[in-house]
Amino acid sequence: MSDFALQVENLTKEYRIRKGERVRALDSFSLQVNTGTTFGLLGPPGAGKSTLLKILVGLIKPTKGKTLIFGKEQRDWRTRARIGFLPERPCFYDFLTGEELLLHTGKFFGVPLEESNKRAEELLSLVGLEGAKGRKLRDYSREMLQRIGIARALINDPDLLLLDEPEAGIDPRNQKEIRSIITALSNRGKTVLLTSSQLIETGNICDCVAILYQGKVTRKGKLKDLLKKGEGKKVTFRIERRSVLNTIKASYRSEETNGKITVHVPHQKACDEIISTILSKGGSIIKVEDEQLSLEEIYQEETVRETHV
Amino acid sequence: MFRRVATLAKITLQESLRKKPLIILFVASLIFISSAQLSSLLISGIPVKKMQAVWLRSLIGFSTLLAVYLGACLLFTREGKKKLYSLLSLPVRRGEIVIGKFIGGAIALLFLLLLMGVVFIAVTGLKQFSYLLIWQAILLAFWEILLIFSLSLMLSTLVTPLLNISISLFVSLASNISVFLKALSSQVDNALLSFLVKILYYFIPHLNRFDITSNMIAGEGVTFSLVLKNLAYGFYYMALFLTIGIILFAKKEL
Repeated sequence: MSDFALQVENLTKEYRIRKGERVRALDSFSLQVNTGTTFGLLGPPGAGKSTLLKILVGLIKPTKGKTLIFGKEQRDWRTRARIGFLPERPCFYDFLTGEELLLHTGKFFGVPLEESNKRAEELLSLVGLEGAKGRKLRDYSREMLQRIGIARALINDPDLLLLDEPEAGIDPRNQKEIRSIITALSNRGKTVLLTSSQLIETGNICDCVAILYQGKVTRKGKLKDLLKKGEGKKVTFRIERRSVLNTIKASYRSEETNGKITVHVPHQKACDEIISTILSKGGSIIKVEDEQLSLEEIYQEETVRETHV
Repeated sequence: MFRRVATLAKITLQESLRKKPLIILFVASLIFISSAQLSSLLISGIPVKKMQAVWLRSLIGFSTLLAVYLGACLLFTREGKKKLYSLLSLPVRRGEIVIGKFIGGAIALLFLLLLMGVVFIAVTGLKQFSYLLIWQAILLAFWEILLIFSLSLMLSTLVTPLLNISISLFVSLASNISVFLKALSSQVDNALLSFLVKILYYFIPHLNRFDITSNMIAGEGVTFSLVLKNLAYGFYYMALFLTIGIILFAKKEL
């Protein structure tokens, strides 16, 4: 058995937008996802994330390249028996109830009715929809549809779960709950490939992330490493003496919120100096972090790099 | 494969019978059918038998509209694309989706046609015709409707619903008057136009084969062999349209 749940080699996808005019959504894209990991494909809208997922489930065909799912060619429709897929903003037969949708989906995977019933119960409880299982999908909210979509993607107990923007269109509080469902799935040993345009929030629940920009992977690795901004550090502290604070503020960029001050220092040496100053003047250190790039900064960097190329 | 097709057919049947425009069209046809007896009383001079046969034919016209609408919106529409995303991510062949949708839609059309038939018989009595002839007429009408449905389903993989409805209705109309098309091709002076009419005549199915109202009016029976021959003829076109539909849908990018 392959160690990789997913292998994508030199995948290119071009769309014809007008006669003689083509746009490249994926450009010689390669990726490997290890079995049992949670992989985040992050990038701005239009980066090619959904295109990749559509190719993986056979909704569209690649212009060039190869995709293997558990070592088998993705073109074989039977490979989808091992996949669970949540499309972006899912849409289902709205006359079905949540429970009926799960049972209906189970039939395509050949799950026996008794087993299907059992799984439906478990999944409805996992996504927190036990109370709404008998309600028609047309009466579900956007967020409930997202949840039932996740449950539906799990009815066949898939080895690989593909989630396209699972947090799209959901308010921040519920986004957090969706993320906790994904973490729970990850803990169950599922291989998860998810896409998102929210770098930090989604990236934090992934073992590995790749940043996709204009159809190419521009960075790949652990989120913490990818976001590291040179040698810079961020020191958050409290101090009563305004004179000391003013001296620090005059030397470094800083922000103050609710009495907590955060200063951005360029390297470890400066960081050590500031910490000793604060401590010697009666202040307290709350946290010291690596300086991180923001999503905008990463995309800006990529744009600059593209321009130079 | 059969399990998947049956599951698809079942959900398509449920979906079809919930489509509002279809229900509106169906109710309109029921009102129209209900007025059949009244019009027979009002329009004097025309034999009741002839009137009822014509009315039976108009029932098929309504069913054709239902079939065209269903075919145009059941498989592929821009709005229904997202539902297809969910469906196509399952371990199911695209061909099975087309077949499942066809069977589900066909059962829905049969149900609606039978309901219209029952209402029609209840209203008019149709005592002038033998039950065998009535059921033969309904069976052939159903086959005609299925043929148009398969055409519309195939076209839905190629064109927009509005264009699909227009083409399907045009083909349905032209197929019903195919006898006149042949005559027209020999009478038209313009060589190109004559050629085009001839092409149309040979390529479109001849739906008038399914129309036995003239036999009904004349009081003639229809032989089983003729019914079977016409059913086989319809089946050939349905298989052709569905095969093309499956090939096109398999290549379709969503």
